[in-house]
Amino acid sequence: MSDDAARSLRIGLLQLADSAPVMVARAFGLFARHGIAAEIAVEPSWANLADKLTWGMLDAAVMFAPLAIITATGARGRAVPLHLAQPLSRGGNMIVLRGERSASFAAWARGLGRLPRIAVVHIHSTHHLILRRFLATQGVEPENGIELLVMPPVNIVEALEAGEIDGFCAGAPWGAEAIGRSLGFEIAGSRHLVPGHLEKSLFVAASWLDADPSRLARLGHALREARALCADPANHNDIAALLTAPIAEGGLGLPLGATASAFAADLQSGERLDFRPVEPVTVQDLAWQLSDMRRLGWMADDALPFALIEPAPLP
Amino acid sequence: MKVLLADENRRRVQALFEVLHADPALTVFRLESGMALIEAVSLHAPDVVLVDIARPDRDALDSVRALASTSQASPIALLVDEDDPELMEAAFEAGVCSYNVLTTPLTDAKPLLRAAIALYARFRRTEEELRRAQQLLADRMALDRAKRLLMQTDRLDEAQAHRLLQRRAMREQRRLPDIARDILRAHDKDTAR
Repeated sequence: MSDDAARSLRIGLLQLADSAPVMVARAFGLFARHGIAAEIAVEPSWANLADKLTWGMLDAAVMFAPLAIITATGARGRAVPLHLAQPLSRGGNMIVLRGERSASFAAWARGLGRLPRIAVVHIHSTHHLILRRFLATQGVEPENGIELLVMPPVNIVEALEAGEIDGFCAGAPWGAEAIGRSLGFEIAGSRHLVPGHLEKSLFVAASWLDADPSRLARLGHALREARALCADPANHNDIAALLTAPIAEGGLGLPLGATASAFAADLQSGERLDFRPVEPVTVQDLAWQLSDMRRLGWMADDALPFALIEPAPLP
Repeated sequence: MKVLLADENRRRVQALFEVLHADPALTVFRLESGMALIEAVSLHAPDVVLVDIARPDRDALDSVRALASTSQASPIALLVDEDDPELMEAAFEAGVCSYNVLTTPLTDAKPLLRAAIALYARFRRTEEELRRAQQLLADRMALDRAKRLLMQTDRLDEAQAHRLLQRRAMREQRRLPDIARDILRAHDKDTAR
């Protein structure tokens, strides 16, 4: 379909620091340089992103693998063939609890006087899996030890401030933002529970790729270059400025201080996003997510429902 | 059958309420402002929930099904008709979706979704026209301001300023008003220093 081949790539993403490679690829002209016409849609929640991908309103999405797997297999409604076209980030998730630091989760929960209400950003998220791994280290059963809630990351700090929740697991910059506003403390993060885990990737709909398969390599090169820019401390001020600009002006409307700290290279403590382009993703990279998902009954076996089709780096 | 409507757009939800309320077979509830969608679902126990697709708390409905084994809530899921993909595409295009308690027959829920699609599509058309008019106006103002700025700082006449903007837009393959905004932003930053 020539129509489809000419149409630009519609990429959906959320207001998160690890959307940076796609934002940078557009703002710094990397998509254009590699002959990719791209449009970015900032979506209000993960459900919106997954639904739009499923029903053909988006061609690609910046997502974590669990939701992509659920979307691809049709567990949310209709199966939609997806490909993991490019890994974008590693780590960056933070578990934040309300109030003053406690020695353990149990001690903190006792001080709370109610069943802790803990939010994750989507039920089928790395954040939910990481939260469960954390609770396991504390000997807390998720079914009895907490009340689990789901809300979009952009609303999570307000919910903590308003007392609707007592803690959360979310991506940057929202953990640092809550701590910066003295609403809570970090009890654990990606780096403690699954160091260096694959967090966001760009998933593309097979329909977009099939229309012109040559676009995959060009898309891959644009995003690898964008990742390299994101990983270089020399660019961090410019990237923070891009991500904190209002959405209407092509930014993501993120809070400045917390966003800058997510990129800061010299930060000794705290969770840091890693954008360095590394070797292509393998099934091994996703093994922990797949086995956790199978244990939760979200999938029947460990088989990946999509292909890892990341193109080889340019020589 | 019990139907819950969740939409922040008061005029649109009122219009949909009136359409559905006229059907004696339906009991229609509106989500009160300030109440979480998931709370309203457990309060009213609706068979069908018609939701503005842009509502961020729609995420929570996804989890009702996944968490059904651990809570009392009935399993609820996005209405999907495998045999009628056009219906779903029309719904997403219009900006509305339907969540159903899984025991609600598809044949009961689909007419409700169709009514909502028709209404949302009408609202979308008028909103889109308004948005386009506003965008056009904002673009024109940005362009004029950028031109005036260039005329002052670079001592250009209007035609020269326009050509300068045009050349840059062509080189960067971007829209003229976006280039104009870049120039205004860069100027604001410089003067703030």
